Amino acid sequence: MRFRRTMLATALSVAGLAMGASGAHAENCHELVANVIHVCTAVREGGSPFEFAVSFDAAGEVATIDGVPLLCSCSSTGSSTPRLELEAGRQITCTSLDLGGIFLAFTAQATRKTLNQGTITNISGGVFESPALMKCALFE
Amino acid sequence: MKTIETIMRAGAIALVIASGGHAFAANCHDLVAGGTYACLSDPDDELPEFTLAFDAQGKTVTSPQLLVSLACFCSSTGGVKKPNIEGGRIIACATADENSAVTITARAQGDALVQGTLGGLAAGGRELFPFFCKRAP
Repeated sequence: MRFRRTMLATALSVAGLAMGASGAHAENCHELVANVIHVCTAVREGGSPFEFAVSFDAAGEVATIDGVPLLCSCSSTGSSTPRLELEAGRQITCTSLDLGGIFLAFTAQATRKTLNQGTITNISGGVFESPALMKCALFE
Repeated sequence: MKTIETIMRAGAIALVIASGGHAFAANCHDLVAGGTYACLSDPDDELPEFTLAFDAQGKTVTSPQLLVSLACFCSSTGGVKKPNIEGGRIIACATADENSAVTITARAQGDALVQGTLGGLAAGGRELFPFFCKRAP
């Protein structure tokens, strides 16, 4: 019985070491989206769903939608000043520059294969044009 | 005893119906509406302290330190078939011109804004600050 317990503890330690070695650290949003393409479905209030693609650059810092580049940042973590960690979170927020009538912005929760709980909107003159729910899956 | 129990139960159901579920599903706009927040960033950063003031609908935010007005939207919940557009508690605010953009993202949580990032973004570079805020009484 004691032998079994020791074996189990050893197996757990080995698994822990293996996870550490494989770089199983908490990835931030840039790492999760770097160099991938997502296929997204969006739906506005009372509207029909529509699809579009979001591609991310190698650093996960620039997203492109329909040829429009959007600059991205991640949420931060920590709830007191000594513990604040810049861009350590998984919430990604991207915004384009104001291209005269086109000013796209979205926010979503990034995972390795999805963008969830997202909202995408076009902001024109400081006013939103009907925000849409946005849900994306990795294009494989 | 049974009568009291029945009346209490009916009252509770009536309260839930009357609230329309709003008390339990406040989105980010509801949580920040009309609020002024005192925010702290890294003390070594350029902007260690700043104020965020939301309008009555929680849809725009201004800051005396940032000198800009940003339009805000909430994260969504639900799915494509049953969307709750802007039903979430993550608030994202943005403004931009043809050269640069300013963004603010945070999670609205009670009387605080947590997990915040304030960003100045341009094609040539990015300047970002982590922050958290407390709503001023």
